[in-house]
Amino acid sequence: MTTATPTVPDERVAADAGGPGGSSGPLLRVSDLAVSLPTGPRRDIQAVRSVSLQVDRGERIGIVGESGSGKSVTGRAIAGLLPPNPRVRVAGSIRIDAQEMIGAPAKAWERIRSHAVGMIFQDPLTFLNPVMKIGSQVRESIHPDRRSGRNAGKDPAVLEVLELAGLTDVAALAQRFPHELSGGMRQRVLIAIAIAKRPDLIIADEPTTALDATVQRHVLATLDETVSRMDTSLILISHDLAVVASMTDRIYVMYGGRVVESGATGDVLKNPRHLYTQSLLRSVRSLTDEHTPLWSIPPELRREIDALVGRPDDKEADSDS
Amino acid sequence: MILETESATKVFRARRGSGQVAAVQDATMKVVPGEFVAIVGESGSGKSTLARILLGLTPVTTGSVRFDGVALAEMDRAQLRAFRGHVQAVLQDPAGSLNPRKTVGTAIGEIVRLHGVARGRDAVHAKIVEALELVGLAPAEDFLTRYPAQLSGGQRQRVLIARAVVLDPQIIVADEAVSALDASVKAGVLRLMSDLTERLGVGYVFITHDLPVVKKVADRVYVMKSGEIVESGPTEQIFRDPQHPYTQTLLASELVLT
Repeated sequence: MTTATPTVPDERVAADAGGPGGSSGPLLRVSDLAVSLPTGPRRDIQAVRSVSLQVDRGERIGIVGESGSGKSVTGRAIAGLLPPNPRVRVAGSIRIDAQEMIGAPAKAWERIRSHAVGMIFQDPLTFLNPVMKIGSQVRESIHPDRRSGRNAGKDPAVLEVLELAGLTDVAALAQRFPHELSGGMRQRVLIAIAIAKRPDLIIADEPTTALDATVQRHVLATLDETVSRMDTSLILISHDLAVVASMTDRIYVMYGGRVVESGATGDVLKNPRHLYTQSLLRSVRSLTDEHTPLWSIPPELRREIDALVGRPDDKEADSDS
Repeated sequence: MILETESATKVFRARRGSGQVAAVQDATMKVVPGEFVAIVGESGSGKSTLARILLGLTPVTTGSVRFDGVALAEMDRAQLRAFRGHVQAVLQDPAGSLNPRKTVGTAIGEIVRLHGVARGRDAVHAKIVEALELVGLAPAEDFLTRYPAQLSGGQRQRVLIARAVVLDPQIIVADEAVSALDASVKAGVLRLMSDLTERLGVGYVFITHDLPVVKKVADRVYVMKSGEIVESGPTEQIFRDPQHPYTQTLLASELVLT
């Protein structure tokens, strides 16, 4: 599609005055993103519907929503990591550094993922190679020019990023396999792998959901420090509002594949406008506030929210096929 | 009925070298039906191993686990079968605990038959429907023919709870059963769990790193660190006046939305 070459800038790039790769435009601009995914042999769902969002350089945004809200699919679409299935359909626009990525060839995506966008997932074990030592896995994401020596476990560049990710005794750690590490350590290894390529943007999808409170605190602090130090932008995707509130400048609330509300994180949490955001906050607070009985969104209210958002119910989607 | 461990210790041999790791060391704890007991601690503290010991899935190296006064190690087949009916598990990973090739109806139906909770097609069906509706998967008919892949995470977790409660257990050992759920679903599942206590007298051993949840629903708390129970007591007391430095750190780490 659009290949952003300096000689033939499109209008928006020209208006940004920085040119492609310049630092004045937003790092990421997603417009009207729509993703449909197959859920059965003859059944598709519209997982993301008309999502628009923007991330500036050095900015941290949060995407919150419940499971099925489309937040993870949005994150994966931005990293070009949706399943390679002809029935996965993506429409709209994803511009990274002013380069249009929808419809871009696999090579272009690989280039983006090798230097511009790093991703951290919830479950490090599915991401890490079980039969490969930590050092070698980290080294794979370090640019060849910055590697040294033949032994990944002794490469200073590898040890440096492991330390940057808050790990200690890194020389020994580099020789170990994923299953020999605790959950918190594995998650730090993912952070190390993500930052090793010095990306402009890190997308962290539920990075601490599987961790306990003390470890979560430390891993979030590590993520916080590393993105600040490297001036990396962050998209933090989580169902945990407390985590997102502690880490981000702006927040997007998703429901039924759409962004229902967005704004400065503090404002949205203090003065939620959308019925869903209000309901979500009410149930979150009921889990921590001693004097409020546990509150989950009742079916009638959910139907009302569905109608508001325009979400086709499951049955309708089922019979579509 | 009481499920208890006395000085339970589980030692695993390390893979390399001659080292040994005591995953659980000298743990003494108990739970009775109707009681909500929480075990908290960081990952690697041995809380999941203790859960497996309580469920009879991991044999103790020394010490004992007793149900109704009888040590699990000394139970005969019939007693063990009864034990597995009375004490149910809801484990952490709903995707890994469900057979991807069995529908919800089949998965629950087979244990109904196995434990003889109901006999005959209609009675089994009625029992499955009752369990699904109890956990809020209603109308149950919509879920009977679905495969795990066709359910959301919260729905799978509720299927596991339905599978546990269908046997009318006295005690449910739940390992991180709600940690990964959305706030609204989590609140719903927790409320369901308390309802089951009130209506059926179910007791829980609730293993979690989710401290606000513990504070909200647990009667008593055991705090584990490095395989040992370092502190225990009524929830209110532990949160108000934690004695062990580790408990203090744990409580201070919790992120809460203000």
